[in-house]
Amino acid sequence: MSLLEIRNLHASVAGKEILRGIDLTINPGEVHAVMGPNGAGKSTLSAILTGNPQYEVTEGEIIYKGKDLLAMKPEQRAWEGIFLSFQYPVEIPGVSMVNFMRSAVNAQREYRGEAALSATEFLKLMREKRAVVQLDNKLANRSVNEGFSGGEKKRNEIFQMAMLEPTLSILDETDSGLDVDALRIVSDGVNRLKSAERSSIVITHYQKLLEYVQPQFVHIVYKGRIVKNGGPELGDRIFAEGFDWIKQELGE
Amino acid sequence: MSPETQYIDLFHGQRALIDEHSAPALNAHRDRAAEVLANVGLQRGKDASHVDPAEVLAKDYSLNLARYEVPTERDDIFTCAVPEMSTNMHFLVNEQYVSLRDENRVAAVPDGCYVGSLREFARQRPDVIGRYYNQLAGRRTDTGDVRSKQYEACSLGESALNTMLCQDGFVLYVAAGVQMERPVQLINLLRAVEDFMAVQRLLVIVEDGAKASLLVCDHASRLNEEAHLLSLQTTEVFVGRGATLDFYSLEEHHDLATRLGQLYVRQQGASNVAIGQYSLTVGQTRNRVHVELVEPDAQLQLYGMATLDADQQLDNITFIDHKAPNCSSNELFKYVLDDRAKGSFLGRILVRQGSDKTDAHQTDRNLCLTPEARMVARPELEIYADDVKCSHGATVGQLDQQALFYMRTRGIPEEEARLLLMFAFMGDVIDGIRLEPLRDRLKHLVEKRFRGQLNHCKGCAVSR
Ligand SMILES: Nc1ncnc2c1ncn2[C@@H]1O[C@H](COP(=O)(O)OP(=O)(O)OP(=O)(O)O)[C@@H](O)[C@H]1O
Ligand SMILES: [Mg+2]
Repeated sequence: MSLLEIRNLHASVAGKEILRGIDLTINPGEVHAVMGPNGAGKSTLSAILTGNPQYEVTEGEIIYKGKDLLAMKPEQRAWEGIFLSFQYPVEIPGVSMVNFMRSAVNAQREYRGEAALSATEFLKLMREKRAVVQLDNKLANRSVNEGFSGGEKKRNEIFQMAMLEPTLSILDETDSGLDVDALRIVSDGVNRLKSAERSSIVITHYQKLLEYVQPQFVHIVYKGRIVKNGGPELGDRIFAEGFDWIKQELGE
Repeated sequence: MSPETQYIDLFHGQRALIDEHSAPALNAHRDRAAEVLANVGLQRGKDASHVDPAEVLAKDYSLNLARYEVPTERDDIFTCAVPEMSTNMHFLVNEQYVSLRDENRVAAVPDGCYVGSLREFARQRPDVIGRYYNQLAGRRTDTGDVRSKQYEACSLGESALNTMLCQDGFVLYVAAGVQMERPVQLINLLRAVEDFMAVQRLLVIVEDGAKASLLVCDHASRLNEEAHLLSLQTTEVFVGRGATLDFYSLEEHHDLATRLGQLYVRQQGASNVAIGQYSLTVGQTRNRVHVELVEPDAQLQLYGMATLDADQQLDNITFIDHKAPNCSSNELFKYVLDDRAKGSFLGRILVRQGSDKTDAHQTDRNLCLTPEARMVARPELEIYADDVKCSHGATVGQLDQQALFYMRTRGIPEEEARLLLMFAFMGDVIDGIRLEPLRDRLKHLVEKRFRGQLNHCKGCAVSR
């Protein structure tokens, strides 16, 4: 059974149609890259997958683990293993990383019928996962993303991903704004989670990340549709030639 | 008949009884107060506040002028203090000071100081009362401008009514140079089975170089589902040269309780005062705060917090009067309003001519959780001095929807996420509390309040 199946998805924001019929199937263990020019609708797709109330689905369906994903609240999707590394992570002044993460981890555990972690267990887990992405302890003691640099925010997203161990992770341009070392650390974080059950969707404009995480499938989104599907070679051609040839193929 | 006339008539009719159960030093102020009340009246002023004192006082409340003892059971007098905070607890049941025979609860008072009943103190020390009592609440100050006069007038009538009828209350008197390390806690309990008005009077005197902290907790019991309780509460605070005072007030009233509070503070040179008004639950409350910094180098921190829901109404009307150079004031008020709650913050800062190098900052931030909740924010800053650092700002907003969504994508349930955001919003106004045990306790109480777990009407949450 596929992990995720998106069928004929149409979505709009502020009355404007952004997605106009997306079809995409993801099986357990697969890594999919999603590419496309600015404004094509890639982040909108990730917003729909995570249930952002600002966006409205006007047509189509999404089946996740055999269930109707669109009927679930955002938090429920998280408990079911969906995670989005935001293109623009949100700052939450006054909410400490520790309280934030503890609420997240324990809500997930409760959903799975597991007991809440003790303070010691939780801090141990924090330490362990922080080491994975080499997130500075100073950052972990601050408010969520408050005053973090662009790169630190991205690293923090991967830290949260490591904490929550999602089944389907969506990385929305997690590589942009990262220096060379950070990119490697972030990619390592992603690769560590790889397994036969877990899948990822990697949205990117850059080659480097794809070299690290090795997607089996590449999809090109343009004007709210997936206009081309292929393997890694499709990605290589985009990096070499850009999107113009695709637009030409579409008769534009 | 207007409520003013009604109470003035009552006063003239019951004069002997009122005097008999009070003290000469307090009685001496009644006639003048009756005159002021007749002249000024109960004014809301032309402001945008919600609670109208004239309307509140139009109700026919009974009073306890003959000072019948209020039956108070052992359990009503709360059993334990804020952990590690204070064993120094005092009680007013309605307006009457209740002395506790339990010696363990009331710490020894340092020599030359006094903590206890206003009536007793007025009998023992008429000299001190003469110097301080009604010196702030009973007069119009010398501000020339119209707006300031309006700010003053809107509490003058209520305080005059208080002075006219007040028979007892609470005094904290700290003699020059005495450092009272242990905080004093006063619990004000409203308790009646019928519509009732308690005329409460508080007097706090911290003389030159002395130091004290006071926590006042306002409660209303609910003995009867219909009884409306009113606390008419006038507080005068004098802080001498180089003296330090922390004054915290925590209100937990219920929907049938009304509070008309007027707090007057006079700070002398190089004094340091922190005031915190924490309104956890209210019925209808109107708090007036008037602080004068009369000599150089005085410092004031005035903080306020409110968590309102249902049909609760709260007005905070503050007036900080900078009358001397080199003083600083830092004012911060925060409200969270849910359901159909109504709040107002009317904050005036006046920096008078000659008050050079004043440092005055005012911030008012509010969260309305529903479209029905209403908040009025009116910051006012007027400066007639040179070389000052002043700022003011007010905002009324909603919870950050982006932050809420972000948290939910991490699996934090919506309710919990809202709670974390509301709690974060209150962070700085709670962290500003200088008494550490109170700060911790209040964090806990505010969290409970947001979770809807705070018992609105029974007992003292601070003390449990
Ligand atoms: N909240 C919103 N309100 C109005 N328009 C929006 C909103 N969110 C997205 N859009 C519009 O939808 C279109 C698709 O945006 P989206 O963010 O999905 O693009 P993207 O493919 O992620 O682009 P990029 O590569 O630049 O991140 C854009 O034209 C954008 O302006
Ligand atoms: Mg995007």
